[in-house]
Amino acid sequence: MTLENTLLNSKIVTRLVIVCFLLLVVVPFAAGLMYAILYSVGLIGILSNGFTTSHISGTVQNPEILFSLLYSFYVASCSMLISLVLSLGGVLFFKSSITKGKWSFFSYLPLAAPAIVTAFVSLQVFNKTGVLSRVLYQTNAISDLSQFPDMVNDSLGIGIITTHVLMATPFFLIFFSNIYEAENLKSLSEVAKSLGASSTKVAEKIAIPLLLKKGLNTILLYFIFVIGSYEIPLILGQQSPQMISVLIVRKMQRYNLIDIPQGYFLSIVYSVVVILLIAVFLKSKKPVI
Amino acid sequence: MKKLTSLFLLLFAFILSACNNNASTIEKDHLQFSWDEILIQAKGQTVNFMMWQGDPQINKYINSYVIPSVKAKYGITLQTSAGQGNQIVSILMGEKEALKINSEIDMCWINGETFYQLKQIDALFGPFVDKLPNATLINLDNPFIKYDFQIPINGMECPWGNVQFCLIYNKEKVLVPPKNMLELENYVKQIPGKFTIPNDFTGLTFLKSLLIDIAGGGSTLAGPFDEAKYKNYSAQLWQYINRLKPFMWKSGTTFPNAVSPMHQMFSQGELYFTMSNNDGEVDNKVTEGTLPGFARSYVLDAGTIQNSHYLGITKNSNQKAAAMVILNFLISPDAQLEKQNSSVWGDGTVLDLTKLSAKEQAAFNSLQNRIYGPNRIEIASKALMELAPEYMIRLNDDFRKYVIEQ
Repeated sequence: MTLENTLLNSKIVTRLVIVCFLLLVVVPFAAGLMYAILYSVGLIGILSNGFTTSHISGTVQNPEILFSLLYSFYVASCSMLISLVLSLGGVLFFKSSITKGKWSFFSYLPLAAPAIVTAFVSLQVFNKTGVLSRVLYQTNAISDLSQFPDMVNDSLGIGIITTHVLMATPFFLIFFSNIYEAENLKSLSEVAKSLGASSTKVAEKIAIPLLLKKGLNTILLYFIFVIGSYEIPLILGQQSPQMISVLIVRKMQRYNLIDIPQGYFLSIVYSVVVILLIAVFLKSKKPVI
Repeated sequence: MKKLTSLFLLLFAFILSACNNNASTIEKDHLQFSWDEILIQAKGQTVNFMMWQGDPQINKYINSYVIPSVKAKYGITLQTSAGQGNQIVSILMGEKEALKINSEIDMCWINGETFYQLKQIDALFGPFVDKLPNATLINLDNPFIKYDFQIPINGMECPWGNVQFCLIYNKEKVLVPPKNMLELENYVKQIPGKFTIPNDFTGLTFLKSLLIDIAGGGSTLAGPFDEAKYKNYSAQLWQYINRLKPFMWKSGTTFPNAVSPMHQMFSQGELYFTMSNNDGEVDNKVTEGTLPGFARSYVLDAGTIQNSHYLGITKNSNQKAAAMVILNFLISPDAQLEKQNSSVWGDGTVLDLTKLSAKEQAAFNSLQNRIYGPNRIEIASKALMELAPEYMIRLNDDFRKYVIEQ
């Protein structure tokens, strides 16, 4: 009887959790998506004149969206690649000591800075008349401030990527350090070494694959987060191409109110891309029977 | 699957029902009340004022002067929230779509393009300006006040300030500032990387001034939007800008997204020019310390846009009486004088000085002592009228299409 009661209670709790999840996460998202769909085809909105596909066709025909999506993927890929290389390297070099002791403060500190603050710091440091440029000028490395290379509002997105790297690297350093400890990688590495494996071999065959495999979910989520980032590309990006969130907000807040449905359609495109990314990821994780 | 479809349909119906926009709002007709009745109603009310809060001096004027004054004089609590143009429009659109009867915004700071948009969605209360006793001190027939982006205000928004676009230059680097488009082109080519145009309202005002110059003066583009004229003159404008583009900041590969980063780059020497919609901004900003002492402002010989900014009351405001009392205070000689002082804000008055007492006139005239910016009365002869809002909408789209993305 007690066991039955416990099982019943646990079933109720599970269902409650599912209902809460649906109510708090799925329903608002679905309602938002539905609202965007209805808005983009002119079925709602106080300026709508009834059903139309003109907003969708007008948006699709504009190559700006494709460039924006590609640019967002490019920035996210570069940012993640550099952050992962740096954080994996850091963890393997420092082992777990980077999150402990007096130096750990510096690995936790950047996590406390909001994206907008980090973006402004990057702007002050990396612009043509910024801190770095002035130091180089004072040390005669450059003869004029204008010789300092374009590192913010640049066509390659160096400023955006650098800032994302500054934010992501400490996060992944701590994240991988925790996995390193939880998986007892130190002992595993010692065993491998005692069997004759070199440090490089240990990193290549054991540590890196294990850290990446265990962290795959978080890496993908961070990748999606970078694609959708707003403040950093707004402050450090160019006017064209723009990252997808900046483009959506621009379309939503144009002087021409008739263009708002285009912004809603873009937000649908962005949502679909993110859902597809997650779907592909989940499919690739399914065990092969 | 059936459950999922049902849920989907339910959601669909829910959203459609939530978006019915045929609601009728019940409101008291404040326009029928006498001013004394309005004052009685206003007492003890709390008014939410949505305004651009990007300038600490303006915020200080509101927080340290206006809020205590309206509390002490009329017992009204004024609360401010940050938001401008498209944000105000988004909120009011959202409220109307959600059938919200009492708006979160009672009064808002607007001008041209926002006025045009708010009229499109029928979100403004009025006409109320005639009800304000201090409105008699404004010359409402002055074309720079009577029309907002060529649209008659018809009492639907209250004039608050009047400013004229100015170019700001570094006087230590630019010894003789260019006075017309040809001189500007030649000068920009001599100083590569030191000039740019912000992709925002200020930049568009500059482009409008150039468009009027290309069109041969103020009257050519006056009146409603003219597609043929726009196509003709804007094509020449983009040719001109594209000739300058390789010599602009970052070789014209990008443009600042707002005028504030331009001010910063100007202060740091990265740019030799910046710009402002407010002819009093240089004195204000230098006094404040956010622009350096080498900043000077001027207007081009062909003239620049003079622009009034206004205050509106939202149609669904529940505090219309108190909002009207605050607006009346804001256009009082005392509040306007305080606002025009460069050390406070430096915003030009909308009052007709000839309608003021001799003492008040003397007080306003004593403020014409600018050090860094041009004399307000002198540049008024070069003032150009704002164009119809469609010009700005098109310039905004085409600046991106024919310049930024080229």
